[in-house]
Amino acid sequence: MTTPFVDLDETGLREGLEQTTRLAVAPPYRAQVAENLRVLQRHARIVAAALRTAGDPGAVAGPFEP
Amino acid sequence: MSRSDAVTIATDVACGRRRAEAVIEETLADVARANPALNAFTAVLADEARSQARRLDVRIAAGDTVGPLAGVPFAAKNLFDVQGVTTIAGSIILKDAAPAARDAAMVARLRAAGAILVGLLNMDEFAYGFVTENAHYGPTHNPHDLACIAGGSSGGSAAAVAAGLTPLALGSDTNGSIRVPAGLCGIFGLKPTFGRLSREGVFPFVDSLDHAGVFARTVRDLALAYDVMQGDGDSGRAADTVSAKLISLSERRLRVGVLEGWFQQGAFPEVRESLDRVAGALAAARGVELPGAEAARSAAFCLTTYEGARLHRADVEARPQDFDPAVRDRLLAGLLLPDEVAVAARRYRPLFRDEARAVFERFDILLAPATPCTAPRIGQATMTLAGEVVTVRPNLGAYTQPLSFIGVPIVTAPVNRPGLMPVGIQIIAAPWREDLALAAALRLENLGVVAAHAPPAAADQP
Repeated sequence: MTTPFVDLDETGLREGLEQTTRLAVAPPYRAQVAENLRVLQRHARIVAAALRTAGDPGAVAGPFEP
Repeated sequence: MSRSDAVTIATDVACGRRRAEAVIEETLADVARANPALNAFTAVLADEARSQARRLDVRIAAGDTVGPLAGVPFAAKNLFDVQGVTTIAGSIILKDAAPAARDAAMVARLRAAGAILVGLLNMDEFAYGFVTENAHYGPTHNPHDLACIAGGSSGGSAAAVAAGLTPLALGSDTNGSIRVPAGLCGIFGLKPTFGRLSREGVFPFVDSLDHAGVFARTVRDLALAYDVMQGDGDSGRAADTVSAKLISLSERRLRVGVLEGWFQQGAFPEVRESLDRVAGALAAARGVELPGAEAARSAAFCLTTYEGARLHRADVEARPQDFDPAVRDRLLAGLLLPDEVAVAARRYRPLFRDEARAVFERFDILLAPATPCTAPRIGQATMTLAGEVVTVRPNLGAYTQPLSFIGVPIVTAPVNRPGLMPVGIQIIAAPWREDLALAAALRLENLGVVAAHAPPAAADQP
C-alpha cells in the first residue's frame, strides 16, 4: 500500500484486501474483515490527528515506562 | 455456599479452627452445583486441590508456620500456566499443546502462600474480547442475572468470585479484561501498574499492554493477594506491600477528582448515579479532564489488533477455521494493518502518559465508571450510547482502554446496589500507587458505598 492507510478510500481498502488472499481473507470472512479494517482506519485517523495536534516529535517511542 | 473471605479462611485454617481439606471439599461441592448454570470453570483440579489441602493440614497439625493464604481456594483464568495442565487460553488451537512445565509466577506465589488452586476459568479466546462469549467453550453467565454476560475477557474469573465459589481468582487485563468483568459481576478487581506483577507463564496477548491481576469480594482480600503476588515483577521494581498500612492510609484525606468528558460519554443513568455516590463519599472535585483519552483509546485499539495479529499470524494463515470467528476476523484485519499505524500508536503513548502525569500532580485518585452500562444480555450485538447505536463487544471497554494504555494502577469497586445489576467504578491512581487506590476502595467499603453482594440463587432466577 503506497497510500497511507489512514488516507485509503473504499477502493483502496478493497484492493488491499484482494491482495491478501494468502491470509485466507476470502469469503465468508471478507465482509467482516473489511468492516473491521474500516473501524481500524477510523481509530488510526484519530491517532494521527492527535499526534498532529500534540506536535508529535516524530521519534519512535522506546520501551514504555508507566 | 459459605462466601467466606480469604482472610477469614486463612485465619481459621492456620489456627486449626477449620481444616483445609474441609474448605476444599465445600468449594468443590459448590463448583459442582453452580458451574452448570454459570459456565465459569473450564477445568476443575479436584485431585490436586485435595492433595494440597491434606498436605497443608498435616503441616498445621505438626505446628509448622504456614503462609498468609493457608487453605484459601483460588482459581485462575485458563491462560495462566499450571504445571501438568495444558494452557488453552480459551482456544481449541492450543488444546493439544504440551502441558505446562511449571506454574505461572502468580500461581506459584499464591500456592507458596498456602492458597489452593481448584480450577481454571473461561475467557474470551486469546483474551481478545470484553464478553466471554467463547465460541468453543460457551458463554460465561453473570451470577446476578444468568441471561447476561459476565464481561471479559476474564469473565470466568469474575463470575466464580461473584458467585462465591472462590474468594480469589487470577485474571489478566490488556484493555479492561479485569475491570469490565469485575464491574459487571459486582466484585473488586485490581489491575496493578504495568510491569508491577510478573507475567511469566501467562499466555500473552499484547506484550506492550498485558497486565496480570486479581479479583476478590473484599478490599482486604484484594490487598492481601496483591501483597503475596509482588516481588520479581516485570519492572524489577521493589515490592510495596500494602495490607499493613491500608487502614491508616484509608483514613487520610485524599485529593480525588472525577473524570468527565470521554469517561462519561454515553453512560447510562444508573452508572452516572453510581459515580455520583462514590464521588460524593470521597468529596471528589468535578470537571476533571484527561485530554486525549479518545485518541488513547484509539491508539490502544490499533496496537492491540496489530500486535495480537502478529502473535497469531502462523495459525491465522494455516487454520483460520479453528479460531473463534469474532477473534479471527479482527486478527485478519490486524494483519493488514501497516506498521506505520502501530508506530503512531506507540508515539502517542508517552504523550498521553505525560497528560495523565500532569493531572496526577493535582489529584491522588481519579474516578471513572468501569463500563457505560450494566451487563448486556448474552448474544446482544448492539447497544445505544449517547443516542448512537454501537456494537457491544468493543464499546464495553471504552472507559477502561485509555487507562491501561498508560499502565496506571486501578481498583474496580462495586457500588452498593443490593438487588440491582452491578455497576463498577474505576479508582485510578498514579503509576506505582496501588496503595492509594486500595486505600480509597477500603474507605468506600467502610462507608458502605461499595460492596460485593451475593447474587440471587440460580434456582430463583427466571
